[in-house]
Order: sequence, then C-alpha cells, then structure tokens
Amino acid sequence: MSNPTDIDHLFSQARAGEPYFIDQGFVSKVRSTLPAKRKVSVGQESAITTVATVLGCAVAYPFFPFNEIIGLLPTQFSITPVGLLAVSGLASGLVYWLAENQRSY
Amino acid sequence: MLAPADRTLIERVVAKDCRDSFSTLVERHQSGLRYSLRQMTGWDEALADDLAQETFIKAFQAIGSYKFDAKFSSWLYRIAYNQMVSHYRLARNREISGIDETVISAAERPVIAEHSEQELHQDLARAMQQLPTQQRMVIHLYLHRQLTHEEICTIMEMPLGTVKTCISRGKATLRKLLSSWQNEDVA
Repeated sequence: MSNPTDIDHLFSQARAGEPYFIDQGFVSKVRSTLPAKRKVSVGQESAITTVATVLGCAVAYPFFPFNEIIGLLPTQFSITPVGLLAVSGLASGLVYWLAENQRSY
Repeated sequence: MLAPADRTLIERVVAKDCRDSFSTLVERHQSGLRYSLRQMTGWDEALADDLAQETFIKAFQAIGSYKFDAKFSSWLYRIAYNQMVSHYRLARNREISGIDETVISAAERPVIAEHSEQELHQDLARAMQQLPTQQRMVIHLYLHRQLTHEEICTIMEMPLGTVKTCISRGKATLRKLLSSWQNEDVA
C-alpha cells in the first residue's frame, strides 16, 4: 500500500520556494487606474454639504406647508391579504439583495 | 533609513490622499498577492494579475474603512477573495468548463521522476482549482500563508468549525489530486 501524500510537506516546500514577482510595471499600472484625486477633501465636502443643507432648510422653512402635509397623513390604515403578500415579497427581496451585496467593498 | 510601516503609509493615504504612499504599499504587497491569486486561479497569470490590480483599486477606494484590527495583507486577502468570487460568479459557465478541462489534464498527468520548484507551484495551483472557491481560499490561507484558524475566521467571516472542516476536506482532496508528488522533493 502506498503512503498518502504529505500535503503539509509539499506546502512547506512551496512556501520555502515562493517566487518573488518583480514589479514589471504592475505598480504604475495600478497607480494609473486609481480614481482621480479629489479637488476638495472628504471633510471639506461634508462641511460644504452640511452648510448648504442648513441654509436651504432655513430659506424653505417659512414657506413649507406643515399643516397641509400633516392633514394629508392617513389616520387609519388597512391592507388586503394580497397587499400584505406583495409587501412581504418586496421586503424579502430587499433583504436578499442587501445580503448579497453587503460583502462587496 | 527605515521604510515607513504599513500603518504610517495607510494614514497618509487616508488623510492626504497620498498616491506615493499607496504605491509603496502596492509595491510591498504585490508579489505576495499576485502569488496568492495565481494559486487561487489555477496559475492563470493574466487573470491573477487582473484580480490583483482590481483588489488594490478596491483597497484604495475603501482604505478609509480599514480599522487596523487585522494585518493589511489579511484585509487585502479578504478583498481579493471577494473579487475572485465576483469574477467566478460572472463567468460561472466558463469556470465550470475550465474545471472539467483541468480535471482531465490532472488525471492524465504522468508521474514524473523529478519535479521542479516551478512545477510544484503550478501543480498545487491546478489541484487547488478543483476545490470549491471558499475551501480553496481557506486552504491557501492555512497552508500557504500559515494563518491561524482564528485569523482565517476573521478574513473569511466564517465560524471556527466550518474553517476546520474546510481544511480537513480540502487536505483530503489535495492528497488524492497530488498523489504524483508522493515522497517527492523538489529539484
């Protein structure tokens, strides 16, 4: 009967003889495909967005029809079995999609 | 002068969008990652280099989310694994036919008296190609990169028991596939 192959020994030989791949333009290729440099930093971009949002809200506030919108809100809610099934299906689909996509960096 | 540590380089990339620091990181890790991806892709050099390039680009885009709780290389392996899974998911049909071809060529491979080091790397890669993608990555991290079970659990986001099962099943399969290497030492 033959001896089983010693996998650990084979891999230890492979580790000991792991080749070093010289650059050969790999680094410059990666560098050339990096996304373009930002003109403003992430912090500055967030600050500009926040200030613009606050200013926009302040300008819109006196004109915003709060009472009318509150009046439009339903006071009662009913759903049919078919509607309930449709909502459940959509929710399941959404959960599946999120689970499939959560690992992508 | 001592080269700056990975941490310093990463901090420069995050704070100042420093491309030179990122290039140094790529230069430092490219060989190991390209070798790993060759092992993961049945020694398909072009595919391995494409995946390595995509891995570094993804790493650059997501570097702000790197928390220094694992080695930078481990974080790269995680991204590389995701890239590989995405690639095979997109080309599933092509992958299945590729595996069949490799099975035939491995079965027909004659037992040779003396193996070279290059043959060892390529045969290991071809044998690894027969394993399911997840098992292949676990085996590579364990046997090639010598990471601990716990480190593999973190990288692969898998429970400890599953990692151990992957290793034992993977080793059993490889033992059969690499029988031509029985009692051989590389020349």
